[in-house]
Amino acid sequence: MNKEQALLQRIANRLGRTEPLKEKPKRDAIGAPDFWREFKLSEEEKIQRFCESWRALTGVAEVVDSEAEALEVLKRWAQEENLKHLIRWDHPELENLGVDSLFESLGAKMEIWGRGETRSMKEIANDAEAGITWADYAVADTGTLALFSSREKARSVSLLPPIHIAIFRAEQLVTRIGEVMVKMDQMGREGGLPAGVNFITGPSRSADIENDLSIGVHGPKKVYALIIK
Amino acid sequence: MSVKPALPLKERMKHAIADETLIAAVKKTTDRLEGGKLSSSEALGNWEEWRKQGSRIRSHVVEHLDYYLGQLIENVKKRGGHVHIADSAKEAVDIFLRITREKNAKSVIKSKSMVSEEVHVNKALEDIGVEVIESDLGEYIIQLFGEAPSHIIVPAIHKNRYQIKDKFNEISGENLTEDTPTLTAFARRQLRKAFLQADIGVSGCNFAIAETGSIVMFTNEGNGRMVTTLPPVHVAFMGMERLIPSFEDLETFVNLLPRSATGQKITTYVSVINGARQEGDLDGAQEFHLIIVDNGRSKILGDEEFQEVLNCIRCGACLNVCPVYRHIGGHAYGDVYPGPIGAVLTPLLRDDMETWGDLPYASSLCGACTEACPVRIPLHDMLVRHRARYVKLGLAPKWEQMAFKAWSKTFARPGRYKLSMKAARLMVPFMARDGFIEKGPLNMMGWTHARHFPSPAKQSFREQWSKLSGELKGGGDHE
Ligand code: SF4
Repeated sequence: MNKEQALLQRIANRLGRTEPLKEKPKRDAIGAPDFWREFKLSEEEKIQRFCESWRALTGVAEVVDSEAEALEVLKRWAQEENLKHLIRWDHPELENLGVDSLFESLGAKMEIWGRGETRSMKEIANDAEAGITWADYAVADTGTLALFSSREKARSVSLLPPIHIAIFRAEQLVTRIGEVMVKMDQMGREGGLPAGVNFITGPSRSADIENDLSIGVHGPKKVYALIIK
Repeated sequence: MSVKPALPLKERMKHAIADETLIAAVKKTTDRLEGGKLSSSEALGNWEEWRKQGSRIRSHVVEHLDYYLGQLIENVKKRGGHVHIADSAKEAVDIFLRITREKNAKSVIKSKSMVSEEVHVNKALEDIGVEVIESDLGEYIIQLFGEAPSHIIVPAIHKNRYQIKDKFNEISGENLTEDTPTLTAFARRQLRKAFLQADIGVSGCNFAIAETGSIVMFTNEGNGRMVTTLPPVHVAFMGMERLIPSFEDLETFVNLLPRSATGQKITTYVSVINGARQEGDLDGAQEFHLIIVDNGRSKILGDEEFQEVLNCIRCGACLNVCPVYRHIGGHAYGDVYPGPIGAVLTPLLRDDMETWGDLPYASSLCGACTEACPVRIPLHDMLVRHRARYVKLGLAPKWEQMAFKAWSKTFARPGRYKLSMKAARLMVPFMARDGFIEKGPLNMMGWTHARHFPSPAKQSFREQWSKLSGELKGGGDHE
């Protein structure tokens, strides 16, 4: 018997079974409490709720009606933060939005994750002033972004630069985080779970020094969310 | 690997009580955390429903741990992860050292992990000359001081900014000021280099998802993400009970844990790691190892009186409300897990009542811990059960055994009881001040050392009652 089997056997014995349980046990408490699953917001409410929660944690959030407006907002942010060096996900939505030419026109350098060698990619992300992602989902209730990793959608882009800008469409908003979790269970069953899923709610924070809230210990200090209707 | 505390409990407590900075810091922090918890759980609404759901899911997993752990192991492997089983603390360390050697690692960077604390990984690494760096800000600070964490959620709760500033300046030769942004920025600079250079990243695991073989971490600083994204090898330490069946269940704990721990609606990062990086990925660890640690846990299974303690999700809420913890801080508990959860868990994990069996006495049995616990573990009942076992094993001090025998004899007979209360009331004028006894005799000393004992009422309840009931009968119906 190897160590794994021995452990399972030991556990089974302690629980009064002669051998480890092979069949999925029945249960009636699954997921969130029932009343919570009934919680649903309309699209307008979701947008509002997301922005409120996101801003409550010092995040900047703006809602726009068109791609053209989105670029205007990005331009303003870039100027306010004086961004000169950025890195972004290699995502078709970002491509189509035209962020590259926008930042080029502002005299800033935009790098694209994955179009280069691994080692240098990490270094580039580490040196960049801002990272731009296209969120897979956003959760209205808590003001949370859900980012699924892949070759093009690196975790480093939302983590290493001191500023993180996430863009998404209003239709990507869900009410509760559990809605994304259910999708992850499905992806798991279909064999399509990415290596990393990150739920991000606000900037990196700590209260380890005398309870004094400090922002940006290891992750981004500033977070921006741009919602396109 | 020492399993005995350096000093006995009473001595540890004396040290703690004498440390005024510590008491003030602990009080301030626990007040903040407890206040945050109350307002955020109230804002969520239906808190009791959430607790019930949390407790039911966790109990179900613990009762069927053989199934879910088997499922987890299988799924981690399916994703290409390496699974290791550690029966004891020593095995856990040995496994980790073996990985370190195989990878020829020179430096290890860690994000917070109670289990790695529990098995004492850092010391072993230092002994073989591997650099090990704690990256959670609080852990980084206490590592520089060469101390152990004193709170599950806020490990450096007992250090103030001046002490921290001096320490930072001492190691860097810089001249930093004591404001938080400066201190934080310094740690950020120091640690960023370490994240990028480390050979192995170590994390804990708040929950493992059996159905997908994933591990989930709740963090605020981003260091958990760093250690799993940047170094080529990621090793996660996991207590063998930290499982939930599916992601769907995670929703309940995303709502319960951060609120109970810090009063946040959700932690800044909830990070899910589904094994090593996948084909084509350019970041994320290339290799994933999961060390599943028993170290005394399986002995708690099947123990009707204590099995439920394995439901614990390590939120720290029971610490924040505990009057004893608030008074003595974490180190006085002598081991990794402080507060009420520590007082229940440590004697079980160590399986040594002689050394650790007095810990359950570090409680006022007020029940605040049980009320605070998001997964409804009956902590104060367990503390009583521990004490009962302690007495049964004949480990309680002789005088106490005698005193309790006398008490029980007195309480068993109304006549004796009345007489003793009368005697007590006669003594009161010699001992009490403003209705409280500040220095009690003999066996009351343990109590009155740290707080005042209410003096017995001038008239007993029975005496008042016979008078009152007479009045009530005569008074007629007021409504
Ligand atoms: S016993 Fe309950 S309150 Fe205490 S740390 Fe565990 S889950 Fe939290």
